[in-house]
Amino acid sequence: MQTEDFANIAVEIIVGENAKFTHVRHAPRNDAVQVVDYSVRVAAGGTYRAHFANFGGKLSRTELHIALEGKGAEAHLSGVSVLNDGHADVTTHVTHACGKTQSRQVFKHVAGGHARGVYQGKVSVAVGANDSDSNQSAKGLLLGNRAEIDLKPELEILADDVKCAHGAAVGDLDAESLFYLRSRGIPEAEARALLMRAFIGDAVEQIEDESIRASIWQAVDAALEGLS
Amino acid sequence: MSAVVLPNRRIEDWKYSDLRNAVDADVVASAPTAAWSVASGAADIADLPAIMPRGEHGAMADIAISSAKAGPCLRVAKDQVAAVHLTLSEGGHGRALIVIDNGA
Repeated sequence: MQTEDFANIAVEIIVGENAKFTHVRHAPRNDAVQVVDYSVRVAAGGTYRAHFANFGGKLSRTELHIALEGKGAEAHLSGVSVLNDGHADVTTHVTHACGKTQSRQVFKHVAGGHARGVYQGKVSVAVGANDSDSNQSAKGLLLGNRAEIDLKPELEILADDVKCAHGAAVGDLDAESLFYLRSRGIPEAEARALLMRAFIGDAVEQIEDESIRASIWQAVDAALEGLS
Repeated sequence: MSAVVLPNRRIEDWKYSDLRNAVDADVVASAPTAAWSVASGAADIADLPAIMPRGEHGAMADIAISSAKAGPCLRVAKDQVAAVHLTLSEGGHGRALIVIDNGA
């Protein structure tokens, strides 16, 4: 491997009081090794929204370390990976350092061929950070025997009065739904694409900006067409 | 022998992404500072300050921070709205700082 196929990036992001920051990262398909590490600090009343679209690389890892440091701080994270080969890893650590803070995470992986999708998400609620509200959802769709998806949500709660939920599920395309669509005359390839699009939909729809959302959908559709 | 020790699957955080198998430690050690292209709206662009704020990071970020010699610093001032397009134009080790002021 040459040095130009390697990137290792550290980014510091500071979101001030009552500030809003929307962050979109589109990582197109490539053969590189990329590690991008974001450290985000959100002050009282601030909102950090992040959306990640990853289409695979030799190894692509996105790390997010988010500290909600003031009352009313929010983090909303979503991501999709559509992989025909390659490796995409999203690792998050959200710390509710203060009470009355909120975090939301929705991550979807679709893996075919020899691809591997990874989501590791840890939410820590600090001592005394009561009224923290956290929800993380990670789902994977496996399309082949050689594809792999690893989902690992984690909670570390040191406060007494919090609302924290997490869920993870990996599966194949639903055979009954596929049969239903085919029985309505929809060709198999189209029916599979419809189901995969529906699966990914709630993560992509988190993107508020219409033009960015449309460009991500375009990239997702192109990647879905190439899935084996 | 390279002095860089890469995360591997024996480290819990890197259990599913074995970087040591994906890239040679010498490539990491010899990688240059990454180059960026920045298209900014109302954001101020400057070089990184001498003293950087430092939040929580993972193992590879420590290598990026110690190896990258420069990077962009973007600041969106109070009550401003800005769209910024930050693209990595050449690989290597990189750092960036983004500051969104109060109310921006």
